[in-house]
Amino acid sequence: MNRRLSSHVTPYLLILPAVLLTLLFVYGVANGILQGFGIIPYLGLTTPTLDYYRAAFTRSDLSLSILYTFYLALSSSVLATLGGVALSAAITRVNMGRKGQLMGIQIPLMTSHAIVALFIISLFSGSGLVARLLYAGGLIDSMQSFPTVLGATSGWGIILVYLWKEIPFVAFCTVTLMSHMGDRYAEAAACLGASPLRTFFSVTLPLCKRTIAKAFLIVFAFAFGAYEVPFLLGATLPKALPVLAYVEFQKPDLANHAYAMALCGIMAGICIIVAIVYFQIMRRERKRPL
Amino acid sequence: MSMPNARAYKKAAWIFLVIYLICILVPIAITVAWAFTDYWPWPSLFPLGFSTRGLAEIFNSYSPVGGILLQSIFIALAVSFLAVVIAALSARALVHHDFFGKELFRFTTILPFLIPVTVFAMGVQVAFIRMGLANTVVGVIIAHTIVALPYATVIITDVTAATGARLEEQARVLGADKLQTLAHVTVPSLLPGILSAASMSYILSFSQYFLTLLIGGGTVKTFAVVMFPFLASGDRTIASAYGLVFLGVTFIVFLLFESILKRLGMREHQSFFS
Amino acid sequence: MSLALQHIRLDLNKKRILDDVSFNVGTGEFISLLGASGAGKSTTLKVIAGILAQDSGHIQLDGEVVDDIPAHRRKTSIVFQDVRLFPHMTIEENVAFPLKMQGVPRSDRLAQARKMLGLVHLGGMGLRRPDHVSGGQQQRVALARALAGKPQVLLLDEPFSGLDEDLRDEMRELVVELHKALGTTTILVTHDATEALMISNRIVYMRDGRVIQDATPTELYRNPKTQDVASCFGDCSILSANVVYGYFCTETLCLPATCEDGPATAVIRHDGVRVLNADVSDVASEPASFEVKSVTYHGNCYLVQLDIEGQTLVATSKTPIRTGAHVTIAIDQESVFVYPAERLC
Repeated sequence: MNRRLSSHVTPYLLILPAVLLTLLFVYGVANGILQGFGIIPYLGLTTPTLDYYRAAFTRSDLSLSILYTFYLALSSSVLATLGGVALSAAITRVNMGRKGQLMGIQIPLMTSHAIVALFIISLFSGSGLVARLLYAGGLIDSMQSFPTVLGATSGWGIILVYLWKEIPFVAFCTVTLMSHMGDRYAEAAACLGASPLRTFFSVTLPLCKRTIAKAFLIVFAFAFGAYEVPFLLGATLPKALPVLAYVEFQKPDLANHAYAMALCGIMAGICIIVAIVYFQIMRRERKRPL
Repeated sequence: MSMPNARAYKKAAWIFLVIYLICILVPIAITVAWAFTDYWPWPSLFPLGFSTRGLAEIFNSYSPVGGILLQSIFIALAVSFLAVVIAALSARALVHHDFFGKELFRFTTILPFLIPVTVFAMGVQVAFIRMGLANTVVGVIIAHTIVALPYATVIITDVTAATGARLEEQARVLGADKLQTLAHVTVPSLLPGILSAASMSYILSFSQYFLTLLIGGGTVKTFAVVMFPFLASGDRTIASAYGLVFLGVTFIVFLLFESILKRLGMREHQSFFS
Repeated sequence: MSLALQHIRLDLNKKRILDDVSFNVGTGEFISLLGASGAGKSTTLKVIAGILAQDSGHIQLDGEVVDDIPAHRRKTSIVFQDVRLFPHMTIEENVAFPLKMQGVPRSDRLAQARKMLGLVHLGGMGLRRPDHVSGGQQQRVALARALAGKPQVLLLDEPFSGLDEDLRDEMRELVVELHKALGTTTILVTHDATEALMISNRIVYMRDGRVIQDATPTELYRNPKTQDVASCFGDCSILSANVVYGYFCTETLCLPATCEDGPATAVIRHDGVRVLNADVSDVASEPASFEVKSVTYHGNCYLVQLDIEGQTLVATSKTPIRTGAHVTIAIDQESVFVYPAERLC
């Protein structure tokens, strides 16, 4: 009798800490979103209003900012996913040993995005190593001839930063699964007439699809909502959405605070829409055979 | 396994990996070089002078950076400990138990993946202030743990599911009580996942800038916060010195993690799942 | 398609797995690779399929050396012990896979796959997923998949182990049926000697990476070359003694032997030893009587364990015998195989 009772209660006890933290998380996010609607209870403001959202949407640079952030996040996540899968494939094909794995995956995992921004500056700025190499090779003739990376509107420096960190991250997410799948099915596929390349694309990769998609979503959401890198390397115009939101957030006026929260609400909204699309695709994939 | 045709693909994979490793190591090398030089003018390809000004300025007797560094390490260690423990508990519930609301709970564990940290930080700041958690080390730890938890949960859940309950069942019928099973069977079998989750949580906390800025305010400073303004400044020596310290410290902590966990029973390349 | 292995040698992890393996398989033949675990049978299959490359020696398909042809281009197909159906495809997509690799268009290959499924008696199950069918059905799908690409040599790596008795019989019959219908050259790896006897045209017995005997089932059963070949069919007693002047003799038992004098091992099949007098009353007057150690019931007969100076000889009897009794026996010479004792190092 006692054992049955405890086994019923056990799972709820186990998940309690996580649930508490999750509630805190949800509370924080919901609170923020409500502030975007003008609901700030401790200041006595309890009527929802669309004023702040309206102000946000009529802002001239908002749509540009949204598109820019979306472009940065999408290109980084697509390229990082492709690169990460390729890296995973290479690692599973080659027996790399401990040192290799340490260098290849651990080191990027150990750095912070901000430091990688420093890397990019050291390499690709006007006085960076790449520029010096090109100068030594006679391909450019001054510091100014090298395309700028700081504040470039194409954001190529930002994208490079994300690639440097997220390609290893995607590989980290997928390499274990990929090598398991390879071990199990590569021989069978080969005996059925599949060349190594076709085995990879017809058997191994489809079996890793869900994990790859999960990694893609994580990278996208991260890149979309990150502050540090666009702040360090981004152009004055257009600003990435998180940078825009924080600029408003720091202003002392309450109206700006609520306005910043409206921008946050937009950010959260876009991420949630992308997540919904992702889950819908996953559900459809589950039902449909290839 | 050797297939006559596979050699070509293996070679291509090696070339790819070498190029990749170069891309990883060159920036690190440059940063190390910049950290130790004061004179590296355009257009020379190599630094032209050795100097420890960078490191000296960071750690001189007037700067509190040393103390901040220690505090940051402490915070990050606390976060990795909390994240791993909470994630392990959640993983156990998700894998070995069936309960009402299980799928909903599973969804909530990945929720912080979907909402950007910036939104969370700006939204929760007021709440933390009202709870008295803002500007405190505890508050920062809690906030970091929330961000690290989804990563740790996913990693440890995977490992827990792969191990299954067989080893535990075996230990129980051989006479081990719950605590003994936990210490001698369960935890050792989860060690690779624990190591992975601990490292990931550590780095998430140690490198966290925006969240720490908003929750810690001016009071709780971490190394990442102090380092940030220098990174895009003109002084590449100091910026690289900060970067070097960051990388060096993290590397040492990771080595420590691995050696501790190795002592606890995990051996290199040992797999507990067949 | 005929297959020839010539002096195949293979080392793995510094161990010699295959040591000069040679045998031929004629077109349409069904042969079994028989032997204990570790004999190198599965490794031989993998070498034939091209998954493993041999260190030396040649493989010829229809007279052409195929050593340099990679696995996916050899016209061989393997059914593995652990099935390995692709979980992300339906059953008919699994079966159609080799056709997909050959570039057959979708509707054609699915139609052919369905036909193959019909041949293995799984028609109508094509749209299910591999994890929704039983183990035996999965094996049949694997069989259909291996044959769908019309391989010229079909390799089966202990595909029936892990299935229970009646499923094994079913699968065995299916394999024979398919062999008759399609005439594919087939090589079956098994450690079950009775099975090999039942279905093969020829048996290649292997041990420690070598071919010990390559013969028809009858030949292998009647004239086993070595002790382990003789005893691999089970149901036999093994006795050690010396051969003196052409006779294998213990204190109380003497059997003619064709091998040279010296220490020897005799393999004596149970059904070749019959109990004559179930209860010898006067032991002294019948020197060739033996004491019964134990008796076990086997349904169609009793197996009587007799004591031969500490060793055990098993005899059959239609009627129960009491333990401790003394019996006399008759031994069929055809069931006795004597070999020089193997030096155990």
